[in-house]
Amino acid sequence: MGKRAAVIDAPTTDTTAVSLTDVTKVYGRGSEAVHALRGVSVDIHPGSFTAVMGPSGSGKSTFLHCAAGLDRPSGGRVALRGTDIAGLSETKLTELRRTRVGFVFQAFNLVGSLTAEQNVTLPLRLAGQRPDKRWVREVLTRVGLGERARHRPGQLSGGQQQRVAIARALVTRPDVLFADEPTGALDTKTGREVLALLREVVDAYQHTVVMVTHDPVAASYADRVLFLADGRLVDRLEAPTADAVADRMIHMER
Amino acid sequence: MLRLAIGTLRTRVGGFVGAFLAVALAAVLVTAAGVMLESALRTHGKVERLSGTDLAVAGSAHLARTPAMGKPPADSEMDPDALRQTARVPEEFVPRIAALPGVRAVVPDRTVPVGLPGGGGAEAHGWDSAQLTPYALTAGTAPQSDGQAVVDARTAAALGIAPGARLDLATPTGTHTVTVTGIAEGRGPAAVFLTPAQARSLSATPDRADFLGVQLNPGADRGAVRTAVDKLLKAAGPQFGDPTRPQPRLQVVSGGGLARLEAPAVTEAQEATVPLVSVFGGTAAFAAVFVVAGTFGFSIRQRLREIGLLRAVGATPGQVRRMIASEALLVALAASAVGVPLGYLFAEVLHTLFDQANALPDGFVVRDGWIPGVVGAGTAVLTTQLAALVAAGRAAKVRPTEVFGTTGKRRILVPLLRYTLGLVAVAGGVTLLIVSMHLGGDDGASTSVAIVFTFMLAVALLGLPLARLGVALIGRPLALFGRAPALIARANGAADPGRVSAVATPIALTIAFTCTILFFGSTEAHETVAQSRARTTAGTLVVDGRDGAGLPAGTADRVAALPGVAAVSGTVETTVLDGSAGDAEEQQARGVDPGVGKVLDLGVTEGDVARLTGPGTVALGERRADALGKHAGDRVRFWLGDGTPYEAQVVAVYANAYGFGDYLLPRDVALAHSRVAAYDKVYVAPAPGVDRAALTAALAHEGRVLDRAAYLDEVSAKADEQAWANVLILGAIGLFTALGVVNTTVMAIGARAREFAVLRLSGTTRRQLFAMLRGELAVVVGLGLGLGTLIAYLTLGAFANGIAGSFSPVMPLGTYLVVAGSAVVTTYAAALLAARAVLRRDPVAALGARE
Repeated sequence: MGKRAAVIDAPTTDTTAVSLTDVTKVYGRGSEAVHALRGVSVDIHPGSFTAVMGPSGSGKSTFLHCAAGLDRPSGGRVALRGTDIAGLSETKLTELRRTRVGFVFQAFNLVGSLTAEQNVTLPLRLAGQRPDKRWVREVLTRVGLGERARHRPGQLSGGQQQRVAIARALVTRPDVLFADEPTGALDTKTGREVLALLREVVDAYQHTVVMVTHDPVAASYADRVLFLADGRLVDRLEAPTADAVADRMIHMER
Repeated sequence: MLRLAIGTLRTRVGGFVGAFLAVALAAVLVTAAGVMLESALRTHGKVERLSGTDLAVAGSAHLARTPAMGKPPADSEMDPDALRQTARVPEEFVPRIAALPGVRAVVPDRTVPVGLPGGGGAEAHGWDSAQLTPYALTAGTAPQSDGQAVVDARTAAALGIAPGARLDLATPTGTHTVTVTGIAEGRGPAAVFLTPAQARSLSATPDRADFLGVQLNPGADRGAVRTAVDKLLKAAGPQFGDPTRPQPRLQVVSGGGLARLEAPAVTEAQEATVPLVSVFGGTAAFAAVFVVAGTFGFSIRQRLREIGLLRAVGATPGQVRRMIASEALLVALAASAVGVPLGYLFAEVLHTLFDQANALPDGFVVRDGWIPGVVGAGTAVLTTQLAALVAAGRAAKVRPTEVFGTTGKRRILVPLLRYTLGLVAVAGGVTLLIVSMHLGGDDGASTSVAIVFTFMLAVALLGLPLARLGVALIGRPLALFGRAPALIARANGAADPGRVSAVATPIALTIAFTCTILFFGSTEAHETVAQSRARTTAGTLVVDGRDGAGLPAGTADRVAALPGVAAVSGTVETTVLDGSAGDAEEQQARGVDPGVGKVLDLGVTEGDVARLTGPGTVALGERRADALGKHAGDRVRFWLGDGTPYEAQVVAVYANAYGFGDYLLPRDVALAHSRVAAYDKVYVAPAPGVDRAALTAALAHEGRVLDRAAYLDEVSAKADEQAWANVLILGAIGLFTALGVVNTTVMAIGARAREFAVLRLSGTTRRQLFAMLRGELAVVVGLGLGLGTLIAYLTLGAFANGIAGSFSPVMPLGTYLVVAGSAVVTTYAAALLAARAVLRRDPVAALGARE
């Protein structure tokens, strides 16, 4: 508690998947300005599973958007595998994101008119690549959907849709997979299955996962938990348990 | 991208049906207008009477251009210097051309309209003109002396006359009785051949022929003769008045040009068709761009979430743009495939409609060339790409984070460029309004269309702030009723002004266009009738030619001699060109007798119309005089109807010019430079206390007699008649805008299935939901009606100011209510039917459904 955000991790350049240095984000101007992030520095190492927690309005979604290159910070530096996103045009940034970042949303966000397989290969097609059929099959198999490749989202359950979304995020072999409340729209059991899947892609395939959540149980699947409050990184927890996380959260909200 | 576009089209058929229909309709209308235009341009009168003529020398159909003026515009119909009348050719050229090698004969042709017993008409020529066809005698002999005539065989048979019979001819100089000496067989309209001398004396210009017909020796080189005649004409220099001023040129014509000389009315009708179908096609294309752009833009707005998702999974802004452009292209191609063939069919329908309204020249045949189809498809593709470009510009700016919906921070940027352009459009519209306030007639009319276009553009660009204003103005009193549905309705409008403006814009377009086009006619008719009333008094009698034929120039003198006639003046309908060469404007003009001021109250403000006697005099309408900055006593320069330069002293300025003419010329000047050879009407002022019945009976020998009430009725009916063409344009616009209204309304409702489900699950009854919708619609419809009516009012007001000097458009309430009511009913019906379809779904299922 009360530790300075900057000392949570000493920045190292070569071994980080994502590196945030003193990142700030302000929405609006003047008296209506909202400071969503007030100087966040953190390095995410390859092959790690990081959960980001914090009360509503703590800036966790903004943190995720900035880290993933979906949004640009107002100040500070965001680097994806050493590439600073600041100088990139919208198109260049999109192209960078397309190859280095996978994203999983709370509301699965699949394109309704495309099949599961087409949804999964969409980022590749957008990048102008010819999808490698075997690799796509393997990704779908990894998420346990080998049999349902030709179904449309409407024909899949919520859990299955989220698996498709995870497969879509993995198909470009990203440096980091970002997940925004990935279990938020799922029932408990399905949610656990999705979290187990995320854990598995880290353990078995050395993917890097950063997940925003407000569920201590979800956070307990991660290697470590970062706590955000009022736009600042205020704490972290290694090898978390659900109880320990819940405990910290209760303290923070006081 | 194409695959994604196809996929999207397949699953979102609903959203594209509207756009597809609008584009297909655009393709239909533009193709049909194109077919009509091509057909009109390729229509030529047939060469009948001049079949035996090789070449002709005639005045050009345009003021000759000086080198400084450059080339004429490619579209000759837009040439402001086009002449209604063909300038006549001095007879002194006859011997000079006849002396050229290869020329067999040169005939100075004159066409004098004459009336035959029984009401029929014929063309009188000199007997020398007979060889131009040629006509051959089948009985009797050629006319030897004045008072003798040869009649064509068909006419003779119809009248049952044979050589030796006597025939009364109503001519511009009065009725002449001629003896029929022969019957001749030839081609062309009914013809009477007099001696060349008598034909010359009957025409308005004895020293000038209408044109010179040239026949060549057998085996002569036509090209060489042509060149020789051209050289001779060029060497002769200007032939029409002041040689220093632009004027028509004498030129050699052949082929289609002969048809123009033979039947100028056909050419004129053809030329009148061209702008009509152009306006029709142009208006349809504008409405198409507007509706298609609106529909596309709205459908993109509804899909921001999906686009945000694509951005989030790695679509670059360029790819989003390309996806939307591909969708648009697919829609355009599909719509063209349906619309273009239908367009060719619709051209046949239009042909029938135009034909029934007698608006087509003789010999008009629908030609199914390939160009209109390509133009129709091209319009479809261009329109949709333009719409897609605008919509995609917005879509590509969507941030990937917007996929998180309301939780994401949506950037609220003021679209500066859009608002700037909107304000520019407003400024442009106001400028045009001010200009229009000082124009009159045709210029005012064409400016009005531009005003509506410009203001509609402004409405489309400034939709958001206008919608906010509308919600504030209309929503507030609505919410005062305090019921929950009204409150929600107002809140919904305030929360999504984009939706309000998307639906209100096509309504405004409908109202603005419909009212402008409809009430344009009523404003014009009102002013025409008002000024016609002001010009006449209760006692005025008007003599009109029977069956639209003119009254011989002798009529006025004969009428003046009748007992009980205080004053009389005939009028000759003609035109003049004023302004500068290259940018001349055609103005309505009348040739009058000097006594016109005693018969008609022209509201003379300066000078005296009685001084309108010899050449070199003119009277000007007040508004025209103001525009030119001229007063009585000043000199003015302009061109007469046939392009002859004219310089005159202004002898009077008069106020009551509308529907009469801004230029009054001495009668003989008008006759000498017009194709018409007669009065269109003769106005009679009876002496006080005269026996009107007796006078009317006496006047009936001259023509159809109208009292003031009947005359004003005819003026009014004629003004209304001219409005028929507008109905077609109106129909096209109406179809489009109704489609636009239905499109956006249905899309707006369809996208709200989830919202309705939430409301129903939180205890809103169907009845309350509909009440809420009606409340929202009241705001939307009110805004659309208000904006549309305002635009129409301003446009018509400026037009009224231009023609009548007061900002008082004539908008009959009954008609307005029908127009407004139709718009209201269409919108409500579309919205409530769409809502019913949405509400039929189970709310729980609707809530669970993802897009």
